[in-house]
Amino acid sequence: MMKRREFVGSVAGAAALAWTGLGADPRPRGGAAVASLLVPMDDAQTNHLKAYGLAYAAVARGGHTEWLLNYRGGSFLVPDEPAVRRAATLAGVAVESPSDADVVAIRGTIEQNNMDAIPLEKAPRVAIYSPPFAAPWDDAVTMALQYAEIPFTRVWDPEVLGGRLTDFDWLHLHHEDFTGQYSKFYLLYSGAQWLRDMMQENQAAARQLGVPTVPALKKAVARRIRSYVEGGGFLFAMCTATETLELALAAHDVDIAAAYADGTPMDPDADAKLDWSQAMGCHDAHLVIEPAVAAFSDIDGHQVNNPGRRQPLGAFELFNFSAKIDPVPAMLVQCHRQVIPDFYGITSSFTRRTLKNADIVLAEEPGAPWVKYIHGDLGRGTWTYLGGHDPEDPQHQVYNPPTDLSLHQTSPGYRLILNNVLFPAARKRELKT
Amino acid sequence: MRRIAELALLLALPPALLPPRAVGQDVVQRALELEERGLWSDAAALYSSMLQAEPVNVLALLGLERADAQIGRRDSTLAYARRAIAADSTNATAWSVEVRALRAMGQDSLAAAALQRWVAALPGSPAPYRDWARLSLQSGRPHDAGDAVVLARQRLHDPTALAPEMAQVSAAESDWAQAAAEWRDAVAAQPAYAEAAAYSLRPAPASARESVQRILIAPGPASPSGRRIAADLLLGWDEPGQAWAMLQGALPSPEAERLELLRSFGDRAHALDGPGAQRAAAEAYEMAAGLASPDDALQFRIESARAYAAAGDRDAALRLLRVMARDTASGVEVRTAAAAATIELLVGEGNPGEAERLLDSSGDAMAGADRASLGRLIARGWLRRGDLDRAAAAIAPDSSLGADEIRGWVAVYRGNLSEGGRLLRGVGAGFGDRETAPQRAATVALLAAVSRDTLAALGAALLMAGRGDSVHASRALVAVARGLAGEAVPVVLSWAARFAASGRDAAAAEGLWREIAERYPTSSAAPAAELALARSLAGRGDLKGAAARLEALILAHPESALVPEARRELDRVRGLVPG
Repeated sequence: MMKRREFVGSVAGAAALAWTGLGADPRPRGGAAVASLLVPMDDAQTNHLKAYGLAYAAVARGGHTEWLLNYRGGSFLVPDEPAVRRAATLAGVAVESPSDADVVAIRGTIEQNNMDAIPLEKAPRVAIYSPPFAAPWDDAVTMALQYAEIPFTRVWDPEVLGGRLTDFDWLHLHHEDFTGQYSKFYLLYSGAQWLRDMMQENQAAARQLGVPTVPALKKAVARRIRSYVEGGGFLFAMCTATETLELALAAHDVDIAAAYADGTPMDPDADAKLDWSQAMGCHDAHLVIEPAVAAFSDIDGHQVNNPGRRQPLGAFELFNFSAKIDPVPAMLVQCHRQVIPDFYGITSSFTRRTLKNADIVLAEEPGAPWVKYIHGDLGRGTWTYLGGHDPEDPQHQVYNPPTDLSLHQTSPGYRLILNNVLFPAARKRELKT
Repeated sequence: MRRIAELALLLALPPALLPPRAVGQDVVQRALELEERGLWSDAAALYSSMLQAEPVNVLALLGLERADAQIGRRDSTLAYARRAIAADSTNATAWSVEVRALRAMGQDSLAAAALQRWVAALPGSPAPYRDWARLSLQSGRPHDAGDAVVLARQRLHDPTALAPEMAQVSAAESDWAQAAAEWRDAVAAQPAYAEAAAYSLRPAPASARESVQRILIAPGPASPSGRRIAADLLLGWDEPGQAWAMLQGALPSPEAERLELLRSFGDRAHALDGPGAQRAAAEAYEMAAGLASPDDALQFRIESARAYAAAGDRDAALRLLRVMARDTASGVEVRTAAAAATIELLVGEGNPGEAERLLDSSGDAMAGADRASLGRLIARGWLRRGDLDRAAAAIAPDSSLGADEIRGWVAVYRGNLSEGGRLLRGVGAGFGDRETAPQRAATVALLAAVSRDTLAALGAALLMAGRGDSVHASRALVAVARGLAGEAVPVVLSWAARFAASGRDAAAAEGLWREIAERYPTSSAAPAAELALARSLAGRGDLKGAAARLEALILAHPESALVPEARRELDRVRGLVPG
C-alpha cells in the first residue's frame, strides 16, 4: 500500500531521473521506442475537453501515455496508434506527429524548465455520488465525463454505506447537501414536485438503511467518505458538497439541521459545539441559521443566496506550482488560461479565514477574502474542492437548461475538473483502502 | 437574463420621466452622434464638460453613464452623479445613476447605503425601491427585488405599490398566480403595461395557465385590464379563437382606445401561423375598419381580406374586397387598392386567370409600377400552374430584374439550361427574399454541375418540384441522374433525395443518400448525403446507424465544412450533450 506522500515522491523522483538533459533518449524510461502523438493543450488545441477522454482511453488500453506538465498548457504524449488517430479525428482533438528528434527536443525543454513528464499508468475507476432521481440542475462533472467519454459509475447512500467506495479510485461529489437540509430549498421551492421527490427519496433511503433522519443519514455518509479518503481515495467535490461535507463532519454530534429536515430545531449552541478536527479542509466556520436562506456557513465567500451578503463575481487566478517538486498540485492546475472568470454555486468559494493551515490553495481571486480551488491530504488520500456549480453557466439557477459542452470545447474551467479525473492515473501502484 | 432585459425595456416605456429640455441640446446631439460612431471616450468627455457647467443636466448624466459603461469608467459616472445629488437631492435620475454605478462596480454595500440616502431624501417616493427591485431582477436576484417591494409597500402604506416589479418577482419565482394578480392591478392602473404583462406571463407552464386565466378575468374593477392581458396570453399560447372572444368582452368604450386595441391584437394575430390566428386577425381588422377614418378603414379591410384568405375563408375575403371595389363613393385609389388585393388573393389561391382578367379590366387606373408588380405576381401564379407560355406572356413588357428571374425559371423549366442559368445568374445573388435567393443560387449550381445546354427532362422535373409535387419531382430527377455521368450524377441524386424527404418519402430519400455516400464517396455531394442520412436515421430512432454514418463522414471527409456540424450531431446521438 502506498501512502500519498510516497506516491508524490515516487512520481517526482521518477520524473527527475528520467532524462538527463538535451540529447537524451526520446524513449520513456525503460520503454522501447514507440511513435507518439502529441496532444497539445495550449491554444492550438481545438477540443481540450475531449483531449482528456483521448488520454484516458489511451491509458485504459495500456498504451504508454505521459502528461507533460506545464508544457504547452499541459499536453499529452499518447501512442501513435490507428485507434488513437481515429478517436482524435472523430472527437475533433488536435494532435501533432512529432519526430524522434522533436520528442528529444520536447524532453530537453521539459528538463530545463518548470515542467515535467508524468507517466499515466492506470485508468482510474471513477464514481460519481448522485441521487437516483433527477433534480432540476446539472452536475458539471457528470457532464464533463460524459462529453469527454470517460466511463463512471453512479453511487448513492446505499452504496456508500454498503462499503462500495473501495471499488473506486476517484469519487466525485457535487450538489449534495450533507447537512440533510435539501440545499435549504425547502421554503424557497415548497410545493415543487422535484423537491417533494428529493425529500421522499432521501427519507426512503434513510428508512431503508435504518437511519432515523436524513441529516443523520448524510452525516453517516460523510464519515464514510472521510474514511475513504483516509484509506487512500481521491475525492473531488464542487459546489454545495464541499461546504456541507465539512459541516457534516464537524457536526458529528451536533444538530445543525432545521426542524423541517429532522423534526427538531437546530441546536442553538451548534456553532460552539462543532468539532473541526473531523473536517478535512476547513475550521472555525460559523453557521447560517436562517432556514429560508439557502446558504450554510461563512465557509462560502460569495453567499449567492444570502440577501445583503452576496458578493459579485470576479475572476480567479491559478497558482503556478513546481512541476518537478509539487507534481500533484501542478497536475490539478494544468490549463491554457491562468485567469478564469468566476462562477456561482450555492458554495462558490472558500473564505481564507476558514481554511486549515495545511490546505494548498490552487486558485484564488487576488485581493479577495476568499479562494476558489483548494486541495489537501488526509491519511493516504487527497481531497480537492472547487467552488461553484458550472464553469460555463456563471449565474446558474434552478431550472436553467443544461450546459451543452459541445459549445464550450475549450473551456478552461471544465479543464480543472478533468485534471482531477486524470491525476489519479499518475499513480504508480494499485490503490488499496 | 435576456428576457429580463427585454422586459425592462418594455417596462421603461410607460413611466419614463422625460427630462426637461435643457440648454445645450445641440451639444447633447453631438455627443449622441459620437456614441453612435462608437467614440465613447469622446462622448464621455463631451458629457463631462456639460456636467461641469450644469451638474443636474440629466440628459448629460445619462449619456455619461452610457459612455462610461462602454469604457469601464463607472467611477467617473459615480462622481458626477454625486455632484448632481449635492446640487439637487430630489433628483431621482441622479440617485438612480449613483445606485446603478455602484452596483455595476460590484459595490453592493455602498449601493445599499446610497439607496438608504435616496429614501431619506425622498421619503414618499417609490422610485428608490423600484430602481433597486429592477436592478436586482436584472442581476438574477428576485428575492432581493421582492424584499425591496415589500419594504416599499410597508413604508409607503400602499399595498399595490410597485405592482409591475412584484409581478416580475413572482414570475421569476414561478408563482404564476401571484404574478397574474399583480399584473392585473398594474395594468388597471397603467394600461401601457399590458404588453409587458403578457410577455412576462407567457412562459407560465401549461399546468399554471388555468389559474392565471381565472385570476386575470375575475370580476372586479381590474377585470377589463385582466381580460386584455388574458387575450394576449391566449394568443401566445396558441388559442387564437379564445383570445379573440376574450378581447371582445374587454373592449373599452372610447373609440380611439378600442381601435388601438383591435389594431394591436390584429397585428399580433396576423403575425402568427395557422388559420385560427388568421381568422382572429381578420375579424379584429374588420371590426377596426368600422371605427377607423376612411383611409385607415381601407387598409384595415385589405388586411382583413388577406387574413381571411390566409385563414382559408375565400368568400369572406372576396366579400370585403368586392364591397370596396364596387363602392362608387370610394375614390379611384381605394378601388385600385382593393383590386390589387383581390389579384393577390386570386393568385394565392391558384387562380391566375381570374387575376389576369381583373388586372386587364382595371384599365389605366392602376399605375405602371403596380401593374408590373401584379403582372409578375400573376406570372408566378402561372409558373405554379405549369403554364410557361402564359407566365412568359404576363411579364412580356417588363424589363425588371424580377421579370428576368421569371424568364430564367421559364427557360429552365423548358429545359433550356444554359439560357436559364444565364438569366438566373444575371439576377444576382442578393436579389429576392431569404427563400428565393438561396433556391436560385442552388439551381444555378445544379445547372453548372449538369453542364448541358438543354435537358428537357431536368427542366420538367424541376417544374414538378416548383409546382409542389416533390415526390414525382424526386422520381423524375432520379431518372435524369441515371442518364448522366460524372459529378453531375450525385449532385442530381442529392436533389432527388431532398425532394423525396420533403415529400415525406423517407425510405426513398435514405436510399438515395446511401447511394451517393457509397457509390460516389469522393463526390462533393457525399458529406452532405452522409449528414442528411444520419439525421434521418436519428429522427426515426436508429441512433447507432446515425452514429456510424456521422463517423464515416468525419473520417472520410475530415476537411469538409460539414465536419463540425457532424461532430456536434454525433455527440447528440450518442447522448454526450443535451438533445
